[in-house]
Amino acid sequence: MPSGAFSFKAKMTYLQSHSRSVSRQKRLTIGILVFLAAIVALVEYAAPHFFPALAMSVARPYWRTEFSLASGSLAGPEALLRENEDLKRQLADAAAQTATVRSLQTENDELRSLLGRASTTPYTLAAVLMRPPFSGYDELVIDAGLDQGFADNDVVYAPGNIPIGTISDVLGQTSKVTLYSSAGQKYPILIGSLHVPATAAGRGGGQYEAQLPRDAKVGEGDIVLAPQTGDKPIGIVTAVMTDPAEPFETVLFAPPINLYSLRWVLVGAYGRKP
Amino acid sequence: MPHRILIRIILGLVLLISILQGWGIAAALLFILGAWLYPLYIEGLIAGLAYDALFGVEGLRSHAGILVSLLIFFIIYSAKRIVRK
Repeated sequence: MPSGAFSFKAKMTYLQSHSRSVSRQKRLTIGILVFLAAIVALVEYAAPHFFPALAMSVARPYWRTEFSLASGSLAGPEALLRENEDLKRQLADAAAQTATVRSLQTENDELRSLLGRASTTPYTLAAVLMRPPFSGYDELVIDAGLDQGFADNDVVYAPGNIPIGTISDVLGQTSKVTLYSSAGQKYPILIGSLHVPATAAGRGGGQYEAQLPRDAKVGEGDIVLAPQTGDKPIGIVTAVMTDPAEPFETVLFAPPINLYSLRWVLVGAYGRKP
Repeated sequence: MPHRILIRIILGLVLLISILQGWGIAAALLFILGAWLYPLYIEGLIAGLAYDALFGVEGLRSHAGILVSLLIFFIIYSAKRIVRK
């Protein structure tokens, strides 16, 4: 047999076995990927908090460090002393206002107890680690969870006692808060001095909308209350849009705080189901 | 250390920071880049899983991260096969 034919046959044999080996490798890779996907799906089904807890164990130290940097905790001594003095001055101003608020709060509690609706809901302070627009899905991640006795449906308040959402998922040391303004959320509200009932729908980004009959006598600046949180104010009407051809008008409202700059929230047990 | 491995590590770290910061779009773009440059860039799939674990709530929305990652994975690898044929 000529040597050229032998080397050609050897080359053909090598190419065939090489392409078989590549195909086998591809099948093995696909098989491993499918197996890993099945394991992930099984873990998600059997232990739905496993991956969130694992991810939080990495994310929480990073977010805490970022929070500390933003708070100036890692600043030099002079900067910290200056901040300390500023805060003391602000505290003195706030103390004067607090005295008035406390007396009003006491009167409020007395009146409520007379009506049989005394409020003794304790609140817990929690730091906001992630907030819109970076947290995705219009939610907050706060720095307290089962360690502070939080539970699903606990109501979350912004400074000023403004309800902004409820806890939707509790982990060991963190919790996820779904904002009332999250797209798809709906709940009953009362608008204005006449307490016009309506259903609010979240539009995302801290904005809400509600449909009312055209002659509902609601205007900009009207307070919006949420019965599910004990009639606490959750927003102020920012716009009323009327179309003469439509029997309804659209009311837009938003909380009087900037959700994008929230650093601290209060969590109460008001919404907890027995 | 070979160049490609170093770049892959750096890309992975930037991807991790994007996920921790909640920059979903930036993470998706980094995944597209990584998937194009490297064979079997599973770091992107892990990033999608991590995004859902950190920020996901109830319902189908809680799996948007992994679904988008899988979509990018299959689109890029199909595109690579077509381009390199």
